[in-house]
This record gives sequence, C-alpha cells and structure tokens, in this order.
Amino acid sequence: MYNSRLEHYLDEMERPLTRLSAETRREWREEARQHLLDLVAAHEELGASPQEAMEAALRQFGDARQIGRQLQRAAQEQTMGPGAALALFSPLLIAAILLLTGCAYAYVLSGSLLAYTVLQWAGVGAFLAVPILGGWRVGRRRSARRLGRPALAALALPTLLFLPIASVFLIPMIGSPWQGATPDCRWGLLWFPMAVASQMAASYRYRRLKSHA
Amino acid sequence: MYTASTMRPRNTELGELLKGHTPTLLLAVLRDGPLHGYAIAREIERRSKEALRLGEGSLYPALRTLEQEGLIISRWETQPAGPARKVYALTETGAAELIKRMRSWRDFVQAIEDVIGGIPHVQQPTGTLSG
Repeated sequence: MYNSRLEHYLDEMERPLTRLSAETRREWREEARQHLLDLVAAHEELGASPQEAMEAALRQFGDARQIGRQLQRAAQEQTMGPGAALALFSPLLIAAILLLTGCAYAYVLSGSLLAYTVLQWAGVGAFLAVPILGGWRVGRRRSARRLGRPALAALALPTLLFLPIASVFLIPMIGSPWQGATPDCRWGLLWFPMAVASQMAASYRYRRLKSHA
Repeated sequence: MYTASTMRPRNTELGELLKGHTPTLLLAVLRDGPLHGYAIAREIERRSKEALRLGEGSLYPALRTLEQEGLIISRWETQPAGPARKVYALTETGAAELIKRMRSWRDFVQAIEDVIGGIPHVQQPTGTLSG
C-alpha cells in the first residue's frame, strides 16, 4: 500500500515526460523517489504514521501532473525537437546537395555518366542522412541554448557557399537562370531561397529559446 | 504531536513574492557547496527561518533549467550509506550570475523601500465617522 501509493504518484509524474529519454526518465524518477522518502522519514520523525507521512510528503512535493508538465516544458526548451533541428541543419543539407549535384553536372559536362550517377545517388544519400543524423539525433540530444549563436553562424556558412558553387557549376552551364535550364537546375536555383528561409527559421527558434531563458 | 499542517507554508504572500526568484535562491544555497534536491529545500527553509517553503517538486524543473543554462552542474554521488544521490553544484558562470542577480535584487529592494518608506507607527483611531 505504502509503496504502491509512491509508485502510482511517480507514474503520474512521469506520464507527461514523453520527450525525455528512458534513461533520463529513470534518473528523474529515482531522484524524486529519494526526495520523497526523505520527506516521509522527516514526517515520521515528527510523529506521523507511515501512511500519514507518505500523504504529507506527496502533498509537500506538489501536484504530480503539474511537476511532470513543468519538467516536460524544461525538456522542450532543452532539446530542439525534430522540426527546429531540421531547420537548423538544412543549410548544411542544402550545401551537401549543391556540392554533390554541382560536381555531378561538372562530370556530365566532361562526359562521365558513371560519375554522374554515383554522385547523384550520393546527393540523395546526403539528402536523407544529414537531416536524420545531424538534425534528428544531434538536435534532440544537445542543448539548444548551448548550441548557440556560434554554431548557427557556422551553419550559415554553407548557405553562403551557395554563391561560389552556383557561379562555378550552375550558372555557366544554364546561361540565364530560366532559359534553357534543365528541370534539375531550376530546382537548384530554388535551393538558395530555401537555405535562407531555413536559416531564418533556425535563427528565429534560437531567439525564442533565448528569450525564454 | 504530529499534525498535517506541521510542514505547510506559513505565509502564502511570501510564496507569491517568491515566484520568479526561485532560480536565485537555488544559486544562493549552492554557493556554499554541492547539495541534493532535498537538502536544497531544507537549506532554503533554514535560511529563511521557515518563512519560504517551496513546492518541492517544482525545484527540479528549475534545477534542470539552470543546468541547461550552464549555471549549475549535477552528478550522481555514491553515499556512505544508502543509494547514490544526484547532487548539484554551482559553476563559475553560475557564481557570476548569482552576483549579478544579487545586485539586481538589492537594487530592486532599495527602489521599493524608497517608494514605500519604513513601516509606519500604527496609531489608535482617534474617533469614528458617524453619519
């Protein structure tokens, strides 16, 4: 009875913590349990029965759901979430695609179909790998605030790299932007505004996190 | 004799005033050395002569936020008796931040005192209004 009341309370507290890893949830649960057991012991020393002491300790600790929600909010500030992480890392993603497809077109001009195919598939691979590995995993596990402005500035560099890459590989090949361009190249020209937009989204997210600090 | 009210907050007005200042209190009690969550709550009570009593579960979200801001760090410490406990310690950044917050708080208190002045001497009413 005594233990099941405590475990039920901890379950209630843990319920909203959907965005914390299992290990973090386990650690948090252990920390809360120890705090509660200390409180129970303190109440018992003051003369409470075990049951009274447990109820008083839980009351003193606070509303389980509310504490869970507060922790969840703290966790949301700590991790960026997949959307923001994707936005943050997309300049890198876009630069990777540009570089690979730009090289691919260069090889096409030199007549090597094999190199073109390999590099196009590498571009597709980068398209999938960068957001999954960089955005999802790293973004979820690292503190958004610690990632900070220097990291954002570093990630902005690939966006700026578009200009030399485009001038070397894309513009000479297609002439004027829309006349005579292949469909791939037209999409290529959209990468720049996409990169800028994603960078702006990431900066906006960063400012919001900072303002909540 | 034990009563359920033994450990309840004494002054709810102080509780209201406390809102927003919990991080400063946490940094202040950690200035003297690493503590675990339960000890932090007791230390705040002790220093405030039991005037300040927090919802103890709400300490942890505040601690987590301070930790992610780099103002405190935590580690699990094995105890001579009993299970390992998570203890929190102030970082150098946290110590600097505490000084900043203490200055702000003192400026704030001074400004309020300048406006409201000292506690007035309570005088007995000299008469009553009658219609």
